[in-house]
Amino acid sequence: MATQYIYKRDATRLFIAMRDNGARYKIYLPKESNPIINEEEKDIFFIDHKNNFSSFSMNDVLYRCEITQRDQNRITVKVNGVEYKFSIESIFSYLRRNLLNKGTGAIAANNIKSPMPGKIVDVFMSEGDLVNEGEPVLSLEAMKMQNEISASCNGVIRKIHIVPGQSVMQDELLVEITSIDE
Amino acid sequence: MNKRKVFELRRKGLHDMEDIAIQKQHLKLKLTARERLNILFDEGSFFELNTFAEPAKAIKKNQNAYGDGVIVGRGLVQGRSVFAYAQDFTVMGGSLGYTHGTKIAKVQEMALKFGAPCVGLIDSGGARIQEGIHSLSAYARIFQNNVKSSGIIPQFSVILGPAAGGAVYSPAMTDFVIMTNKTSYMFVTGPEVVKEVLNQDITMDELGGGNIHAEKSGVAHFVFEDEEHAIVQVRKLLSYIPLNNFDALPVSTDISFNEERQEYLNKIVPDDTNRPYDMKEIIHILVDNNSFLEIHEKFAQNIIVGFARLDGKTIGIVANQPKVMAGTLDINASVKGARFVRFCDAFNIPILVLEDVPGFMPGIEQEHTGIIRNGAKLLYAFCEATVPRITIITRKAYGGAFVVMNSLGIGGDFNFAWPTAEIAVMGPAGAIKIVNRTELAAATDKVSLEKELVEKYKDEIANPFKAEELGMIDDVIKPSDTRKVLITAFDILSNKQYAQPERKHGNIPL
Amino acid sequence: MNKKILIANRNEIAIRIIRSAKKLGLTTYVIQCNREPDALYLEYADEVVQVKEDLSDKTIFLNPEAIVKIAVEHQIDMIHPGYGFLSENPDFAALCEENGIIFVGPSPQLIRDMGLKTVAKKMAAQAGMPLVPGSADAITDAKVAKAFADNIGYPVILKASAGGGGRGMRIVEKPETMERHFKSAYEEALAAFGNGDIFIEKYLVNPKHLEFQILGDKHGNVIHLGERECSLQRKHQKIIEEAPAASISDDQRARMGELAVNFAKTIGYYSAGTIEFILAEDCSYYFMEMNTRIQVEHPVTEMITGVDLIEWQIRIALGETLTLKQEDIRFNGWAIECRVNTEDPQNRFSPQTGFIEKVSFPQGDHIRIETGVKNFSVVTPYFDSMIAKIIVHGDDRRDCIKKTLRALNDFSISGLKTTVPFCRTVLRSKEFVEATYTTRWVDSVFNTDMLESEEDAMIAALAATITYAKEYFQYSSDSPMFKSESLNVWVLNKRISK
Repeated sequence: MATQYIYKRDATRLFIAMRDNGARYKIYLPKESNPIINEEEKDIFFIDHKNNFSSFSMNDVLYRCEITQRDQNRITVKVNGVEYKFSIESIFSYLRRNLLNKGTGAIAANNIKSPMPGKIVDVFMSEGDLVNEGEPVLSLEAMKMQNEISASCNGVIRKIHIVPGQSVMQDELLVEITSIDE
Repeated sequence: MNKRKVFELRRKGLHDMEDIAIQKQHLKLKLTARERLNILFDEGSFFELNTFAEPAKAIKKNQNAYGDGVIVGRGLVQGRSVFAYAQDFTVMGGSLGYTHGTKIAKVQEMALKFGAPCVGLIDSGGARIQEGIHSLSAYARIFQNNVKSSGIIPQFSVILGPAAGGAVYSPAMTDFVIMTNKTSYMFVTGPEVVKEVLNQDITMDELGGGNIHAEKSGVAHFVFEDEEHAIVQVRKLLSYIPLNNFDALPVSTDISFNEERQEYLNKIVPDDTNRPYDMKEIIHILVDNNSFLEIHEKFAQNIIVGFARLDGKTIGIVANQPKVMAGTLDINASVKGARFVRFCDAFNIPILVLEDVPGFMPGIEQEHTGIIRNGAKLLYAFCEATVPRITIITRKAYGGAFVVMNSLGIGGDFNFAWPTAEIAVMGPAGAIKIVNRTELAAATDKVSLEKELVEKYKDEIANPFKAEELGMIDDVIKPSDTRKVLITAFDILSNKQYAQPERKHGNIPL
Repeated sequence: MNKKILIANRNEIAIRIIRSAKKLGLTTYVIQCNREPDALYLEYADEVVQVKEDLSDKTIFLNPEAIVKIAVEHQIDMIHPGYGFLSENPDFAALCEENGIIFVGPSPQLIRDMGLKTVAKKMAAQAGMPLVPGSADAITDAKVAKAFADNIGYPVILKASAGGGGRGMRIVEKPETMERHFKSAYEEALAAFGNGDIFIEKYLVNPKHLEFQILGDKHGNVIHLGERECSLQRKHQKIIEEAPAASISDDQRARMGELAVNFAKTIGYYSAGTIEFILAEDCSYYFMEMNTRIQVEHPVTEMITGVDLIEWQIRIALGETLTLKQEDIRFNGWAIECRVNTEDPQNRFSPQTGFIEKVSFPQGDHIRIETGVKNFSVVTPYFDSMIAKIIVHGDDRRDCIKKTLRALNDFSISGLKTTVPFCRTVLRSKEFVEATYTTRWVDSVFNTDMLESEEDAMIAALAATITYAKEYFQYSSDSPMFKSESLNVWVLNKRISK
């Protein structure tokens, strides 16, 4: 295709839950480990899910949640008898809407380019993963040295263009990262 | 001419166009045509056609207009083939010129030929005035294709910008119209004309915004706040329906339902026959978890229509809503129901009717606006439908409305009733006044006699057991068994065959 | 004792009465009505009388003639009216007596007297009960009004004698504005009701609501079983009650108890009854009214005294002598009752109706549950919204609050919203912990944000996100969640015929 488009239906695992009172929760749902809520890994265990009910435990306390209302992306959850209303967006639709509201154009991209010609040794992340600034994303062997290349912002891995073992040129686009810093 | 160079230049030109489009559209809180197609289709699956088609008449010499303001092609939606066109508002206002229209017509014709759904992502200023009659002829061809495809492939229109004048009639003839609130409009004549002709001040939003069409006019089947959700809705709809009228229905592999809540069905219908309850609650309990996809949610709310899955298989649901206007059928409800029944029939989707209807809406306004002609549409649609059809009578089933709502007499395959059902020619209060007129006139204590007669009427006439004995319904079932009964019944009906004499087409009372 | 008792009530109180009646060897009868044909209380009774009622009429529980007719038909010996409905209807009590049925409660005449506030207050004053200072007669002159108000002290409240619903009511805080307010109240009352009569009463800014439980027999023996504090109310409906009250001293308790007993003796009261006081910030107290029935909150008194009030009510009705002496009554520890109403505390306590998919109550030695619902029960709009009471006993007040909170956390219900989160919020509030709360707590302190907790909100956000994500992944993922079945016969047939 001709252009790198800003919008993609990426299988992102990062969502923003906005409460009706304005509180925001940045929630990352990794495939196999604990959820990360507002950048903090929480010891929350998903216990059970049935019909509209799901239960979690956190710090040995059991929480039973009931989904009481659903309308498009607006979801109401009852916990301990109290209802909380949220509207949920994927990070991309959230950012897009935010930026659109501000009237500025593109979403900041902090892509990783190859700093030197070399060979990819390993990629630590997969597409849709959340990365923190300074976290190594891949390792590149050049001049018989292995260099770890890190993310320059907090963001989401959008697209990985390389596979381990692949040789790359200088300035070649390796990994696309969308910044989630505002 | 260096052909390689030209090739590169054109690619670069396309690239630049998209950059401009991004800047223009994003400022208006909108996505570009290409971005929209990316939401619609599985990643990387879009196969574009006629990318570099040129406008019949270039309007601005210095600006690229590759594709003439519309992107057409075919992509995959969850692996299934779907055709689409997306109008690009940044190229000459998305106006429909000859090339533009021809491209759309071409993709429509391909969709029909290959038996795949056709989706229009509409964002256009209307006919391109500079091209005059050429533009109109292109419109004509699009309309013709809409109708040719109707009932053969599902057609969707997602309105993501303005659609004015003749441009509204193509969406109007497709099966589903999806709009966004605030960023999309549909009207035949815009606010300026309304001002000029009628001297009425009205904004675009009030005249033809998403909410207006979803609630008042019934033009839009769905309205969303966000473009992404609007486009994803097409993907969601497609997971219920076949690709064409010969295709088998998709069957969900993820089946779960709320077993505990079935018990509630035994208690949900109030003893007081005039108390409302929420039919949607019954639907949600009966069908697979979270599978009910309501159509026309805010329009004519006295009838509920939508798709759902029962044991993984798609069904269409038509239900009276006792919560709104007691579930009475009025003009809007009849038309809404009829259209949905015909869609289901066209695409082989079995129909479930949940009935609690006191009758057709009385009143001068309704009679004068044509409740007869419009109510007949629903009757016609049900009579005509050849798909498996099952009715569950939850409470009231009175008079003509009982017949209309998929009774056995008009070809319903099974009619079941709950013990709370009241099946009769009319409600008790009205009936005794006619049947027992002389007794009532002679009575000294009218009130208590009336009460007594109502009870007698309910016991002797207006109950499901009487109808069952007479074979007017198939069975009186325990409400909590309904799901089980339905699954079996639809299974029995899955190989339903029918025969009818050849004809061009019927003459539905439009 | 082979007697038959008809319980002219429903819900948890019917079950509660059945429990005591069975202890006494009575055969219990209850009424099944159309509005609630599957109610839980029906399962507890020995006999169920079915009635068919017209849903447009008032419920059978408010129909004295119908109930007495049932009682006569079934040769019932006594009727227990519970609370609410006909429990304080003197005509019903009288009708029972006329038909030779024992009414479990005081004499019809006393029910009538205590039902009329002015009569009750007069009788109380005669028995030496303190009343809220106020004008005995209507005042129409501003000068007289001011002199009166100066005398009893500010703030005062002006009430139109013909008024109601707040019309013609004024709260006057200082002498300077007295005449002006009086005039406007007078004019408003005159315009609205055609009668400008105004009463003046001392206005208590932050009152507490206390009540003493009385037991008296038909032989002149009366004792009190201590007090309950019921200051926590919303829309003038109690929601949390405790016994004893934290804001009075033992001395004051004894004094007030003595007054209550004395009053009951003076008027010749028998059966269980409650004398309500209003307690000012300076601990001065005034008689409010007397309730001639068993109260919703009676279990807190039972928890700390160990006395079965309903059992005694029935025994007294049968003419037995009250063998309990005042000195036998010991107060042990503390008890709190939380009412579980199906109301939405986040939305101005609007009532909720519908299906209870699952309900589970806390369990434990110190916990007592009185409920009229179970799994699959339906809450109808015909009756009040209370579905249960959770009563918890503790060694002292602090212990009791702690245990109650734990019990509330163990309560769960799906389908409907209840007042439980509200009760939790109250028990955690500074005012409740320090026992400084008053009847104005809901209006002045409570706001819906107090119901929420940060952890709950976070978990809720997670649950909402997971719900959304599930669908998001499903519809935005490129791999389908469905399979397209191979062609079925129907489709094939259609193809062939084309």
